[in-house]
Amino acid sequence: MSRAAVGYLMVAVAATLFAVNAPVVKVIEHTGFSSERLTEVRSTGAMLGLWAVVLVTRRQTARVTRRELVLLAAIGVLGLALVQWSYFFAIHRLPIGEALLIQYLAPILVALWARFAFRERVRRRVWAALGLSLAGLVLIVELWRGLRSSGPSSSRGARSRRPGSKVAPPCSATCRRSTPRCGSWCSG
Amino acid sequence: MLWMIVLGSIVPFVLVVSALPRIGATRTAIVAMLEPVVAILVAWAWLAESLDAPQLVGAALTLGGIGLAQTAR
Repeated sequence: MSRAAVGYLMVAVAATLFAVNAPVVKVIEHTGFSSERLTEVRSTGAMLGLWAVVLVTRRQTARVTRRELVLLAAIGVLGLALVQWSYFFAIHRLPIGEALLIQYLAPILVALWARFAFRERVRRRVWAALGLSLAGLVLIVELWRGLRSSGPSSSRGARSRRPGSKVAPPCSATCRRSTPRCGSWCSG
Repeated sequence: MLWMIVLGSIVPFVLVVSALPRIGATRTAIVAMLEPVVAILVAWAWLAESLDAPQLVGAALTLGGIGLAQTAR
């Protein structure tokens, strides 16, 4: 199997595992665990596991400067913990498909961030993509019926959609390197 | 809980990071769009959650828009 084929397979398996994780989390939440507790458990467990991976495979990258530590802490809180919490909060109250599709608007938001925050030139195709995605979102959330959720508090459920996709773009745009070290530091 | 931590977080994260140098960020992001598609199917099979026709059209539009954005980078 070629190197590229292995790469495609890796991402496909990862996407499947992430996807299967959503109903698993939803079932756990229905047993009484709060979104906050699940975020805590997942973040702590992932941090410990990824630290083990870093120490075994790339021990030399475990050292960070104070400046990097502040940046990683910010990414960990805003880009990972808050995203996970809002995602768990949302899937507890919405169908998983709706929550995920809203979350996947993040690349569009990255383009907007790149254009207006970093003043980067954004291709016309991105604006067309934004229009398509927004039109799709209107259909997914059935905006003409008003905001709704399957949970007890529809307004809280609706607000929870925003933080996940809004928080992710500045962090993904700022953290140019996606490495196990970044993940292990940020999960903590 | 162990599933959520190991198979729902650590393993897929390591796989994505390992795939990046092989196929690049853009292709990784596009293939990663399998996630909502698989999630919808799994939620339908396991939790009896479903999207009605307008929502399915919306999902196709949204995924198309995301794919378009990724190929523009």
